[in-house]
Amino acid sequence: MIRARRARLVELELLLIPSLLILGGLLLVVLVDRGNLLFSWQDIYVAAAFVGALLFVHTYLSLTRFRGDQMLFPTAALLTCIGLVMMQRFSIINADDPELAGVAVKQTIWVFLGVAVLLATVVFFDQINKLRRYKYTFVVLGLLLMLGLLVPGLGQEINGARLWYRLGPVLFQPFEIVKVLLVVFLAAYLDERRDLLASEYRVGPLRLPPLPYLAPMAAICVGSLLVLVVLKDLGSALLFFGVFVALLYTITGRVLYVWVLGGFFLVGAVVAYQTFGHVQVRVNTWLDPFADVENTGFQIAQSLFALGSGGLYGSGLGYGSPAAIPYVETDMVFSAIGEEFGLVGSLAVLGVYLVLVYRGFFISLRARRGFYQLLGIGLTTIFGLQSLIIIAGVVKLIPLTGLTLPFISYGGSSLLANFVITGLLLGISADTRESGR
Amino acid sequence: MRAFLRLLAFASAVALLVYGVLSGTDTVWLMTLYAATVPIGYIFFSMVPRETIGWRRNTWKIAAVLVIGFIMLSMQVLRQQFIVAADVIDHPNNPRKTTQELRTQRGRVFDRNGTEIAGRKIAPNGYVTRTYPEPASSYVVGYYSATIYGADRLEERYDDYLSGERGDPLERTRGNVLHRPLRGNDLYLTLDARLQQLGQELLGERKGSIVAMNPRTGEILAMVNNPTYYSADLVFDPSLPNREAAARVRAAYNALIEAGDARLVNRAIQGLYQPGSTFKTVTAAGALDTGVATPDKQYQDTGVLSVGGFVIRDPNRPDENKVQWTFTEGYMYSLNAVFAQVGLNLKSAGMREYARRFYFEREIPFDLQVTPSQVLREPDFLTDQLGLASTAIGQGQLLATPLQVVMTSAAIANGGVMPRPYLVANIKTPGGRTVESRQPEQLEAVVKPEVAAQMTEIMQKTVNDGTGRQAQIPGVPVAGKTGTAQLGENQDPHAWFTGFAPVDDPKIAVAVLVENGGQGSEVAAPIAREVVEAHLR
Repeated sequence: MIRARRARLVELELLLIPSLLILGGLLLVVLVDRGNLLFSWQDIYVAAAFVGALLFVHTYLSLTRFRGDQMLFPTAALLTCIGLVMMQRFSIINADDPELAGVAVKQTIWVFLGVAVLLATVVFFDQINKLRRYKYTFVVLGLLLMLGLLVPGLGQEINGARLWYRLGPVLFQPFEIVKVLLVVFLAAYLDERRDLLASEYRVGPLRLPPLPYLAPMAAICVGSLLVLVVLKDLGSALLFFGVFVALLYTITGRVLYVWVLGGFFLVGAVVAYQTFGHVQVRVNTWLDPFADVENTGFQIAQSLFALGSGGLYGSGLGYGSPAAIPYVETDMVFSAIGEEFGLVGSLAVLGVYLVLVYRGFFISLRARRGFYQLLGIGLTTIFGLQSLIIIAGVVKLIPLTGLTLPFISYGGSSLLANFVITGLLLGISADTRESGR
Repeated sequence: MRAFLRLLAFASAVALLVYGVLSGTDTVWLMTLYAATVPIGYIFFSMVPRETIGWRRNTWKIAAVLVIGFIMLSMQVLRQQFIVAADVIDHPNNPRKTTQELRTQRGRVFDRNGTEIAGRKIAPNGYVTRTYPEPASSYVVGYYSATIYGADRLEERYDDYLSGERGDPLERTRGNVLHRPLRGNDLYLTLDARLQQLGQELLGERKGSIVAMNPRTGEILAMVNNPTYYSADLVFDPSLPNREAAARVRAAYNALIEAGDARLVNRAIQGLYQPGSTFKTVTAAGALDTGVATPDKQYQDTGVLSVGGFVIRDPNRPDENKVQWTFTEGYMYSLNAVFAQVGLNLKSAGMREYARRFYFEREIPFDLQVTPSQVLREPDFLTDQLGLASTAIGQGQLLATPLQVVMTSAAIANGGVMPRPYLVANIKTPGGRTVESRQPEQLEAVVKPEVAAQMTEIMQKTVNDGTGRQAQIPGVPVAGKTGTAQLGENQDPHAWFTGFAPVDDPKIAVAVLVENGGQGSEVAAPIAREVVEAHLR
């Protein structure tokens, strides 16, 4: 039993799934009948290198007798693999589309960097306590990084939102990293004031929360939300708000906070709807995308066309028309999966995210240190909520906001952040078992 | 108790969602989906293990909220990809329709000799261009203008077979599994592309129509219209940029409309013309069939006939001094005064009855929509003596399609039984298996066989010695009738000829119409002769 656990056989077995999937997927993309067979060994090299990277991580973890969770990494690898196959499919089959032609190569590079970052996070996991000690410094630095986007010349505006820095050839989206910092801050802050927060004092018939203790955190959170709203990054604002409420509820267990904050959010949403034209457009196109199908409703309508055309079983990999959907490689990638893999594929992807979320909460609940518990819950909520918000937007369940689909969407910052989160969750899972021995 | 409440919550959630699905509208569905989170939330929250307390219990609830979110996502995905998928796909702004249309390997169309009338050219990138190698036949097939004007005529009528939607279910499955573009079924027509070409040449610059059919089987051998259009002009060319290709097709289509000569109208089956004396066949057959006349019955014709206070003039008498004419001579020389009397004898009810037996005023079953021919516009037109008399000689309010006219001859040639006309003989799968095949059918008996034989004899005499002499073919007995439909003061009359040959074993019946062409005997009869001769050769 103990040998088996050290050898991490479960992880090895589970890694078979993404390994076979990437080989099969890349081959399938090549075999799509496009009139000419553009076969190149490069595609097979990529698959082999990806499998190699997975096995490398696995071997490293086994050799270092890492005792962390065995399901998390294969789940993340599976989602990454789906993303890689989709990017390869965009690049090869839509080679004449300038937006899509280069995504596979870049995504591949980012995946390998991401795997390296994941290993580094696991190796240096213990150092997170330093980060915890300087939590204000880091979170303020993070917010400054976000504010810097507003400085003319620094922030890059794409599709009406200034969310990127240009670093040489790459675009860097600071919120992807800042959201992790914010969760680290919240977890550390709330953990330190756990007992205080659970207490309350009475003013007449009212039971009030210990307001003075919440002030610094409230300031940080309100500040972050304001920055995000000013940057017009409503998806991220919703995501951060959700994580904040989740962590606060975890600590206090008071539904009152949820109602009050939810009320604030609703008021804020109504104000935003009446103030900002783009919010109105988003809401109106959500309610009826076909009213202005040529302009404002174009993106969501294309997404619905793709999903509908996919039907139950999908058109098959490479046989859909994803290039018709704007931003299909980033925000809208779920529509492309829905079209080519059908309802079956969509539900399968949702299922994999559920497994990821389940594993995250499982790890958090088993964590021994309060900080790790909260950190795990916060990070897992990021995964769950982020997938929920972007997919819900894509399928017209809520108004569409710009967020990446974790591990699958194209984008360096997003991928690196996701691998950092995975690394942190792995670290949390390992710490638990060691100290709980 | 708790289990019961859960069951209740589950039932109410299901009821809400079912109501949302059945209500049909997106807004109601979203509202029910959001409302359903309340009972579903209750189920999940009540399932949090009791022994867990404090932050663990709270974490369970957060997880439950996320799971409910994923359940909502699944429901919404189910709706978009399954329940409303069909409606969404059909939206005109969905670009996939265009792509699929352009990739469909549409079935080909062949004439009776295997000549390709409509074909396809497949580019290396899989896009298919419709080709029409036989310009003189292509407009019978119609056009297939992918993404813009859709299809017309046979291309439209048999679209489900040509596009592959119908036909071989295995072919569809194979296409779906292997991701091959749909391959359509091929149509094999009764049409003869050579006759089409000849007919087009014979009409030349003149407007008009020629329809030829096998009177025994109903096979349509030719269906010529002039002026016409070239289907190839309306084909969407996928090798061009989309906008440019669309602009070309639109320009070609607008040019057809701006030409102002009804080029898009299928004159042979949609054009209504005064039939003129060709209608005397109906009058004559009716009179013989009812017995109010015999071929040798004598009529007086002095060149004018007074009916109901009006005078019907008869300019057709070959001998101005002769006043006694037989029924047969009346037909041979197309004597109006004789046939006005025949019509009056036949009476209004008989006239209408026989017109209807010959398929006037009725839907003619055919592969394409045929405009019914008209006997009268005002309901009591035939009760008037003058109306009845003028109808009997092919004037009055009569309007007929060229197909109607050729079918009149075909019924006589076929021993008094109307054959069912058809264009599409066989439909074959890409693999060559026949999925649909039409056998010749007889519609119904029009006149007694003896009457048909008498009429054949009279019509043969018309060609041998009467007005139809220009339709004579050496060595081949031809039967026929000319027509010259007077249109009024300032217009030349429509020239008609209809007939069949060989008389002893009819192989082809033909109707020729030249709009404002002049005398039927001089203009239409020679054209008919050429067509018949070409077919019998």
